Amino acid sequence: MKRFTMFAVALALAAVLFGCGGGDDAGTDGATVVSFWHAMGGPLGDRLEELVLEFNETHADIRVESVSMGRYQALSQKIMAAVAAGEPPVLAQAYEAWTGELIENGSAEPLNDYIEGPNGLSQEELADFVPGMVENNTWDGTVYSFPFNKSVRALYWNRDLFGEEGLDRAPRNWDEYMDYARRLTKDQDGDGEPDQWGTAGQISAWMFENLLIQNGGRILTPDGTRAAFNGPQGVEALRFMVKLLTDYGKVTSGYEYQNDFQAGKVAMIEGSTVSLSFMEGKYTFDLALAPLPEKEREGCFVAGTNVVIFSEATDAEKRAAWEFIKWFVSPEITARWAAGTGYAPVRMSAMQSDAMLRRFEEIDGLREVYGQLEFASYEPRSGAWYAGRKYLEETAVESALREQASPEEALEMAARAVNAELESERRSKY
Amino acid sequence: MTWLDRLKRKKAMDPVTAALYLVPAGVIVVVFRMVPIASAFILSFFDVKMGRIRGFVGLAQYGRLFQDPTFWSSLGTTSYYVLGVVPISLFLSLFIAVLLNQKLKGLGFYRTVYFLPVVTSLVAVSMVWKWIFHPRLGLLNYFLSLLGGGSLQWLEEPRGIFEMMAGGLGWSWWPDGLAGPSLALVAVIVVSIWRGMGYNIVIFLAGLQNIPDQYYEAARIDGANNRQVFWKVTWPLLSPTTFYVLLSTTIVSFQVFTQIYLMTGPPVGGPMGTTKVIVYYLFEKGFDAGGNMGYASAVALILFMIILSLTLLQRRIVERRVYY
Repeated sequence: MKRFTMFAVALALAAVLFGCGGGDDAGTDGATVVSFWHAMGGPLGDRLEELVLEFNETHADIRVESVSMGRYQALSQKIMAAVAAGEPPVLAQAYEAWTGELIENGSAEPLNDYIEGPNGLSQEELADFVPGMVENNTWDGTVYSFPFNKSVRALYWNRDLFGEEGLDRAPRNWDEYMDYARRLTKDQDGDGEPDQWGTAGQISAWMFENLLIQNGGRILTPDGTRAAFNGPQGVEALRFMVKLLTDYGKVTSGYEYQNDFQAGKVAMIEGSTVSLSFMEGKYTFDLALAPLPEKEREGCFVAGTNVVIFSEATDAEKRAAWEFIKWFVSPEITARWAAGTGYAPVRMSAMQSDAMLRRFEEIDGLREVYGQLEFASYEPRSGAWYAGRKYLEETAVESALREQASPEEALEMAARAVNAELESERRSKY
Repeated sequence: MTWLDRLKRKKAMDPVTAALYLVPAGVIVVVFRMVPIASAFILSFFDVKMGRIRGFVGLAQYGRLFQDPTFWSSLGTTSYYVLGVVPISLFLSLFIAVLLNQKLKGLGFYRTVYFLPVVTSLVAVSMVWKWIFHPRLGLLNYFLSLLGGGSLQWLEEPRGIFEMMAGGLGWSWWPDGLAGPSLALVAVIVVSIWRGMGYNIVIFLAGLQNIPDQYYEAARIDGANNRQVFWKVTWPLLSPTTFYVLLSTTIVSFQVFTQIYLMTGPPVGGPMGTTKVIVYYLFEKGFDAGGNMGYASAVALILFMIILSLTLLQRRIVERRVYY
């Protein structure tokens, strides 16, 4: 009897152990299961989960199982490990640099056949995508990924604080930006320390990159082989950023500057449109958004990730994954995703949808902020830049903001490190 | 007759039996220690991306490594960390262990208190201390303000501690090379000492209790005072324990990661990269941007060599003074 019990226990254990490993593409109800790895957390994860649920309810033969990895860094590590082990998910969010690596590895599924196939997208539909978005997911004529959660940067401003200074609109160019920030920095209790700041920010390459492009500069040279951000436009942009944030603003650790803005202690901040969903209901003043101030030109970079289908998946899984992508980027769904999260809709027609029009009513200036998409730029896609970006942030922007180096020296140091990164990537491609 | 039956009949332990007993521990050591060390060694000669070996590059990874100023500065940061943690931790734990070895009231309570940080999750410890060090909302700056002092930036302060002290004394000039570890790194060092001390105290206590009472009695009869008893009896007889604590603390300190990863930044390793220790540098290269496992393996191997040679050096120098 005892032996029999032991045997039963062993059998049950074995069933549990092997049961886990045997997750094939057919679910219990015969639906094709699409494992989808993403990095959306907090309110963004909630919105995504709602949409995935809706997709599963309306598509009886497909079940998308989304797994949140919490943050992009963790997602990239998980994807790399899974690809190395030969067991990637069916679908995942990915930055362009990761997709580049996946293509080289033969793990990214070309999407042209799906787009042109019977369940594809028509020419009109493709033309409806925000300009540049599909192109930025195309490598040598082959589309390997699809725009999923894209955002642009906006200027958030506190109408109430602006009003006290007699200002009724956001700054439109750099001169106004600096001037408004100066006027909105106030020492109200007379202790010699301002208690209201014009602006605030964190140490990030993001703000600098946007200033750089507004000033007519470039991140890399046109052929992508050398750093170009250390040119005169870059030096001027970084000098502007340092003056703005240290004289009339403050640099905080992480997202604290956002809390200070919500508390009414800072008059304006730059931030991604996605910050909207994190600020929701946490401020009491009259909030408005505006496009970033311009210098030589209007300019902004598009941020956020795309989705890729992995080649290792079965044909049924790939078809199901494409079905999900197609549904997600349809005008109605992308509009609702955008209205719920602050990400930009990926279709132009979505801007006229009820969901977006209602959102534009609620958030003053959001329509103009999304208008930046028409002239927006994209960061270099190479893996070397993905690694090199860190130097721009830590060597250039941090050194300059902490006044450890002049903008010229700081950018020069970062450019040397980025060039070494680009050089070693070129050499490893033989 | 199966091999198992044959095994049972033998009385003396033959090599096969011995080997069988070693298998469980052996498998763990081989799978989780030996194989990773060997594969890191091999990988360091290859260009690896996304787990795919893209080609043999010989010593190129090492060449790049030695040319990277960040690698050298991370080595310097790690040295500061080790030099900060090891001597202070050793001294404090020995001091407290000697105190706890006496017949005090509520001894059990104190021993538990000192051991608490060790059994607390390092992640939780790091998060709590990060808040204590917070420039605006932290407890530490609150206490400083009660004492009438100004607030410090703690984990966000890139200036060297010696430079700041010199500034405090009113010296406007201080040589750059002697700036010392940043205040941010000092904050991490403090947390590491606080967290690791309990373990060292327990080891020291065990060592102290192993010293037979008759030596102390004999010393007392000979008229030795407290100081003489400590230096002539306790210290030499405790030396094997001290040696062990020195070695293990040094090794663990070189491998510091969690505190750095959780307490510093963003970006991690900041401010100004002054808390970027070698293991975080390795992590950044291997797992964060680019995922170059070959490069990261080369870093791991260099770290391995450093720890190994330091351990051997410590054995040669210190072991002569150890009485077993």
